[in-house]
Amino acid sequence: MSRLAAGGLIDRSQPLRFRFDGRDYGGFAGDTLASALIANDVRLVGRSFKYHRPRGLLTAGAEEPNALVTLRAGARAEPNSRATTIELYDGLEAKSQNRWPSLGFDLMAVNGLMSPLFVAGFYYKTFMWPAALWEKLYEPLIRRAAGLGALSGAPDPDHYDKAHGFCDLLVIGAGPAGLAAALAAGRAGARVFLLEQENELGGRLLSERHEIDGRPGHLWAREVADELSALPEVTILRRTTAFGVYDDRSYGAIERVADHLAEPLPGQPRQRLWKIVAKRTILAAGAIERPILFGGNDRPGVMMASAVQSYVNRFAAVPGRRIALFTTSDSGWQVAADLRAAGVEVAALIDPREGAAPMALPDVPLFAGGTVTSTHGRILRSIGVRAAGGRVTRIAADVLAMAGGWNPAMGIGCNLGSRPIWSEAIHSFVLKAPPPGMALAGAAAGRFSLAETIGDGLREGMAAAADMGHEGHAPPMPRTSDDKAGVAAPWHVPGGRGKAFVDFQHDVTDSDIALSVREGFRSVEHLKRYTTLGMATDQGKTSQVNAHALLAMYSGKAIVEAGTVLSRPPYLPVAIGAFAGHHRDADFRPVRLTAGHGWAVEQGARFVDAGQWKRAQWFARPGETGWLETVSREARAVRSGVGLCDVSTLGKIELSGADAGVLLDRLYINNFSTLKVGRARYGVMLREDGIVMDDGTTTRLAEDRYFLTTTTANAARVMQHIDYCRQILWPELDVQAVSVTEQWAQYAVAGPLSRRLLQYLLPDLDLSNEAFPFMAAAETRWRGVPMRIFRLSFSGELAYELGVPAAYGDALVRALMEAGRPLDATPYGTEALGVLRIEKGHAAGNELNGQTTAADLGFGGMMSTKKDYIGRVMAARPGLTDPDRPVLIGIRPVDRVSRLAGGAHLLPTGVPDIAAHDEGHVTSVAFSPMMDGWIGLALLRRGRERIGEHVRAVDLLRGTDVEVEICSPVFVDPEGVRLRG
Amino acid sequence: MADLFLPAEGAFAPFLETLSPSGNGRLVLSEPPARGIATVMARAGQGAALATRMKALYGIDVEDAARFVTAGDVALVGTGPGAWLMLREGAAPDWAAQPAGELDGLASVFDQSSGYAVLRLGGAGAATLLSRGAFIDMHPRAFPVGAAAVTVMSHIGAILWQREAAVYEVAIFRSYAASFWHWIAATAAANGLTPMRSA
Amino acid sequence: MRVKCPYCGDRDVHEFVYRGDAAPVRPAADAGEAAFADYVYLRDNPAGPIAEHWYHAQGCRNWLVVERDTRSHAIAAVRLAREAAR
Repeated sequence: MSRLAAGGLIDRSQPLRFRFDGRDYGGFAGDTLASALIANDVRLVGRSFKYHRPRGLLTAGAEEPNALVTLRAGARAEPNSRATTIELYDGLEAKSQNRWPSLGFDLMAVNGLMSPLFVAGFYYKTFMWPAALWEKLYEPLIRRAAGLGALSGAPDPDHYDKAHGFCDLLVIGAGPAGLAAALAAGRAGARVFLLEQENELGGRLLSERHEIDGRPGHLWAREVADELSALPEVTILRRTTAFGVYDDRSYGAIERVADHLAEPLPGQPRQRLWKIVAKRTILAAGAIERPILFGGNDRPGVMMASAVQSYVNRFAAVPGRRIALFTTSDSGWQVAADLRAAGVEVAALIDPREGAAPMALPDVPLFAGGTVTSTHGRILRSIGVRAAGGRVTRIAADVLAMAGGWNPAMGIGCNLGSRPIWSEAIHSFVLKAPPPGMALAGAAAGRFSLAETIGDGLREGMAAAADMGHEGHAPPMPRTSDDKAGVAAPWHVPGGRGKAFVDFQHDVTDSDIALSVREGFRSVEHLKRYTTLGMATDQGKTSQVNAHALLAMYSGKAIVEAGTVLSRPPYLPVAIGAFAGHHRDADFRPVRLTAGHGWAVEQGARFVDAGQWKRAQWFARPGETGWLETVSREARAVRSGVGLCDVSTLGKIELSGADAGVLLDRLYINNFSTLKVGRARYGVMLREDGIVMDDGTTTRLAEDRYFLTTTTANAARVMQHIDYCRQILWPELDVQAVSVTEQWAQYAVAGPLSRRLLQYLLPDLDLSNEAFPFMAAAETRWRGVPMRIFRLSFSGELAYELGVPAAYGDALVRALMEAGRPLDATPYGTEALGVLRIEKGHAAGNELNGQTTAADLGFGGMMSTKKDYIGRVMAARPGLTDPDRPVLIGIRPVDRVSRLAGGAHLLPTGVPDIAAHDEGHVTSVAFSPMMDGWIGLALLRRGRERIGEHVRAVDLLRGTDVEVEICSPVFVDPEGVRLRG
Repeated sequence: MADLFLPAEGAFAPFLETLSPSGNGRLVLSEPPARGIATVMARAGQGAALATRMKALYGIDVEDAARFVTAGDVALVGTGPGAWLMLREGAAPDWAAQPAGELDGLASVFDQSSGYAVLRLGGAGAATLLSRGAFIDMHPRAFPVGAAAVTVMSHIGAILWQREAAVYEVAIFRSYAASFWHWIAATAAANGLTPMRSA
Repeated sequence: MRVKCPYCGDRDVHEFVYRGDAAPVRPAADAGEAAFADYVYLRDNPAGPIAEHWYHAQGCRNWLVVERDTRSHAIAAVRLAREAAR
């Protein structure tokens, strides 16, 4: 055990058990998986991506590139989880990744021996030819060899929530700067959201021994957190990471509600996706320490100095017995001091900066002006140090802590395209032009000392609150302990032994970058793509700046010229489930149920999706052997008796106003201002480019009031189109329009017995042909409820549609069934509806396919020549009036017994099946009980001139080739006798 | 005669029945008693005259804004420029003919009494629940009593307003009631709210 | 992205449907095919400010004229199209 006997912020009264790679260990509440592993002397935690090199923990934070583990097992297994951010819970189970058969002995490590092959651009160079092998051979091989964790393959068992937030001030990061900012703005009365990726607020204060007002910094953090929690306008979101900045001050954040538990509590979401709109934002995300580039810098035991400091101070977990420090920044000296204070032996402190001595370190062998040139041991045992004079010595050390300076963690600040620029003052990139409304504070702004960070926070917090009209007194600036922040530029030790890793997660080394430059990939963007640097799950948090410094060095440029890359959201990987939220499986999208849905369920309906609607597809009866038998029975019932169909899903729009008729005349190819009150008319509307948009019937309810129907699919689109016409094209017209689709439950009652059925239901109504002819409409009452009756027919039979307010729709359909019982009234679904309309040659969605004109579909005669309407001019273009165009016709198999397939192409007989002979295609097919065989509708070149001709319906997908006869699309009752019966 | 009317079927009734009438009161759900709902849209250039007529008829102060105003048994929810939902408590199924006649020439009135299902949400947790779905600032300063909004919740178009302190109503198209309810139930649970129905 | 609807206020972009350039005006009925082809198909594609038509589909159902800079997505002004047409 490497746990200090006392100290740290862990709760020793709460011991926890956990399992890593099948072995049981113990830790405490307050541990991360990483700190608990360190406390248990587990030093090997993963294998690298490309070379399968053994790797240990590098960091103590979200930037960790090495310690990726698969957390949990079964369906909840989550690969590529960073051990450094996993809060330990009792029973935690994790496995290392990317090793086979085991972490200690990995056969794939042979890749390391072949490493000269795996240079930058390796995939591009090696697997170029033959291209056909890429998908089948190379890619699967590479994926198996060079992978990270594997998904469970099981559905995610957890639920995800979504939330929206609005605030005056969003503070990202609850370290000293963020706490100070939230406190200043919160006290002034501003609405503040404070986001912290950990559960504990305090940031670096939790890991350092700095004092504020003479007391440990973490106590100050706790006091501020307590005060903030009590302020009603302040919301603290713990375990929450802001992962992206979007236009107009919108932010995305992920709250890990239950990731610190073995599994979520009942009802509890695993995570919550926040969309936050913030008038002001303070990015106080701190800084990320950068590695030093020297040979063997990836050996397990080489860690970031800030991580060593965090493990020792915060978690009382000591990663080594003899720790050496390689530092180019003053912060490394502080780590040495902290180690000594904790009683840990410091083997050496090597600082290449000549004459740097920010503090006195008695008992620590100092190598001023020295560098580390090598590391040794499978897990670190010793280091090679070149002293200022050039003499190289071996020093025994089991941990080498490297402190290569600090990079402001401004990642999401670049999301909107602001490119960071190089600062000579801090030897890193800073964001000078953050997104609108955002300010940076503290280390994220490149101001690293504790006094600066708190000062920044207070100042920016006050400024943001004042901008929002909240004036207050700034909290007093607390006294802070001395915090030296001197630092050198990114440091590279040339000519060391072994690879010097830049990107630990993607195994990119200094020589890969040198090669990339030699081969001409000299822009930061090219370098990134060519070497894959920064493209792993850590998105280059520890590697980007070092790489760009090397790129500048190798290409002989200043780093300020080389520049750096931008970052896109997300800052950290976000589970897809969080974006889906509630909307998966049955809730993937909302479902719309008609008023008669429950009735249809009782009738044994099978449902089909029509957009969001559930429509009854057919109503199978016991003993029926298949859908075709059911559908044919339903269709026959309509032709010979009476059927009932729920048509509530058709789009319904009411137009009212003095100019409603004028608008309709401009919307449709035919006229509606001439329609009589109490009459309906079929209409076709075009897009402005001359193609059919939609069709339906429109009824004139009163002089200034029309009721139009749209297809189910186009309801929203037509409503939008009507609004466009009345608001933009002709705002001078007095027309009001609204969707009443949901107000009316509507049922088709179709068949020769439909009049008798209606008469049972509405005995006082005169439904005779004289009083209520085809296309008549009336408003009446049924049991005190408003009812609309239309004599419309989609089936070609004597038929009516009845509408009542949807709250009475269930009652109506049951009443219709009751009234129809003596007539054996038969419910029919969308399939029978399809059969009936195909038998009548009515165009529907398959024919209104966004490519057909009114003339193609046989409506040419309806196109008014006496008025302007949308699409009129463009419909007259030669291409749309070409006599060679495919037009709607009917087809029947010549042998009458063959089955037809929708989508088959029509080709002349006796020619090869090639596109050059394509003359059209089959749009809709059905088995027609009336014709006792399969029939179809098709679009065929010059089809109307070719009635009686034989062509072939060729379906290369299903492998069918059927000789068909071209016929009129109206198979049943072409004279319309039944319709008007 | 009122007793001849069929009872209107409440779209949320079957779901509300599954809730307990007792609980901590942080989220209380109910369906307002059957009421008339109509879309009222001003005729071109008649906005001012319409407001005057409605004031005279119903004593209501019409606002052409996203607001909920009420007077007696009539309420108006602004849904767009020159457009409102008119709510009429205790209305008969054919009630809309009356305002249509009264406002003839000044407004078009479209009955939507069946088109919308209305859920009432009360309690300290109601605003939180609504804000999980609506990308609208539900803070009492931003969305006070009398505020209204047409928006989308859980991919379902919704009109919501605050009737009185911590009592909200949400109108959605009726066919979405089951999906909307499912979202309400899941989201309440996800936020530690146990919905109860009003006794 | 946020669009400040003149009626509904500041709303997330997902409530809106985008149509495009607001400049083309529907030609007169007798303007001829060329004028209509222009109106239907030809659009400027400026890198910079442009007035566009957006529909507040999940809100007040009004068509809006949105003045947007295509380089930054910054929106300078939003008006009701009905009023902009006057």
